[in-house]
Amino acid sequence: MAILVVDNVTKKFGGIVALRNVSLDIHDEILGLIGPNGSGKTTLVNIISGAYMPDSGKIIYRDNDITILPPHVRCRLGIARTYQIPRPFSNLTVLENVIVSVINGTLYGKVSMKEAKYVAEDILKTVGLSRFKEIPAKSLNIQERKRLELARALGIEPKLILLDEVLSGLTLSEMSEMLSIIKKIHETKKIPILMIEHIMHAIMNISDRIIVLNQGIKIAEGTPEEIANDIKVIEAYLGDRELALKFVKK
Amino acid sequence: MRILFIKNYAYISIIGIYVILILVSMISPYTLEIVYYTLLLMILAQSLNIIMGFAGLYNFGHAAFVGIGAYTFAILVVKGVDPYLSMIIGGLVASFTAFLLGLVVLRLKGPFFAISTLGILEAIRYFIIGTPKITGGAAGFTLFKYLGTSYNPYILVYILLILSVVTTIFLIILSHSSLGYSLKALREDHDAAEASGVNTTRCKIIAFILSAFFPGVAGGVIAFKTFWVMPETIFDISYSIEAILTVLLGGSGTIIGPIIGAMIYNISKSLFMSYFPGFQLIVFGILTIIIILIAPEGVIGLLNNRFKKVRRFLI
Repeated sequence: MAILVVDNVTKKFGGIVALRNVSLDIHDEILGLIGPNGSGKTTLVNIISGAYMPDSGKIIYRDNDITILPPHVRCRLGIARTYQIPRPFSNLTVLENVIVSVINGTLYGKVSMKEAKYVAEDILKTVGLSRFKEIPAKSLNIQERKRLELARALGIEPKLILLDEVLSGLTLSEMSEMLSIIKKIHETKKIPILMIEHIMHAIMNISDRIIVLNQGIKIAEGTPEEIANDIKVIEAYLGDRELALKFVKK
Repeated sequence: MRILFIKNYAYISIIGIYVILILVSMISPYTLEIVYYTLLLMILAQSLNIIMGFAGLYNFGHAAFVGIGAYTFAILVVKGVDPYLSMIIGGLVASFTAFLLGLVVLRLKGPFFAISTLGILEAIRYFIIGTPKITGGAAGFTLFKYLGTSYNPYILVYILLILSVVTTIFLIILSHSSLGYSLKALREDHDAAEASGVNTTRCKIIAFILSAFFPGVAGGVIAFKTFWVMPETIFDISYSIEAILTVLLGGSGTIIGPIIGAMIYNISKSLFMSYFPGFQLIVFGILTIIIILIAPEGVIGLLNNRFKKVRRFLI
């Protein structure tokens, strides 16, 4: 059973069609979403998380139509997202940032402030931010901010996580740390993950399945190997088949 | 209730300020007046802090709640209701008005909200001028014959003192509650707060309702003090402006900020008014610009950043 189904979604901004009849479903997996700049990846995440309303089409989450629900309700149903450019609550401490998600997410109304604090501390341990918990989020660097984004997403006790380029701007070693955190979350908590990424070797390695968007249209879907061999994807995005295959093998 | 017993010294400074105010109020009728105005400003600033400091919404219409409270008080007192009960009802009516207004205006963001609150203040004032049968129109009400015998300046000051202490306790509880955290989150980033599950509209409406109660009660006290309500004086935008200045001066979003802000503002205002009458507005205009430029977090933020040792005396 699919956790989330995006059914024939179209989104226009004025004359620009950001997404044209895109359909996809997310099962219990890490689903990669790739495509050139402006292909509609972030728009899709915004539509799933509720920041935008689609012009047509439906979003079905656990057999319920959530197309018209506002973002906070979707969050309380368990859909978590991160932002490509981190948007921490700058003047709150790192711990408070996570507490906000814990008390408002799927646990809304079920945790006391004290329990929420323990949950938040646990999550900070998972993402490796424990030692920064008392400092304001504005003084974190980019790597720590990306981790805080992930921590806030985990804070709502999600049943589906949408990751928008959590690896961009990180160095190679930071990237592999982040990847192992994401893998760990997926394996231990069994949370399906939709991941947008431009870093090919990372996405080819971590994804169970990949979907490719180009100019708002889904042009391919399949395992990383199939994607690397797909002629349309090579033309639109990858450019070099040999190189793409090399990433998969690594 | 545990949060009221946090192990830091911040409460000592707050209690200290209240004790000083009580002592000063006993010196002479003049100092009693100064304490009255200081407490009044303190309550307006503290309650404005809920919506401005926590939720980040600049409300220029705070005076509207003062006016609504004062008019409710006046109408009830004329009908023969107990004045102290009328004050509380005034607060509740102000809260209810805030709820109705909030449903509409809180959907606006940032500067659009601020401008709409300016409009609301004027609209309510003209509504009152336009309904002389209920509100007395532009001439307002005179309350002396109803309240003259029960007037006691000390009682009014102590009512304001209690109201301010209640506001402080309320703010302390709020700042440690889930509503407080949610408000701070939506102040920092509206969209990200929604993505974290914060029901922003609901939180803002609750904050608006809560912030309207205290000025509503204070409006009743003002009407009691002056024996007179009139649209021009009670819906005075200077209540809003002074409250905003006080919050900025003290430090928005902090608990002790508006308290210290009100002290500084009112003491310097009384000094200016006695030695350089008329100049205080110019000075406060310049002061506002300086605060925004060099200490956007107010006096409290400045002290916090420069002098780490005083930090535990502040919240």
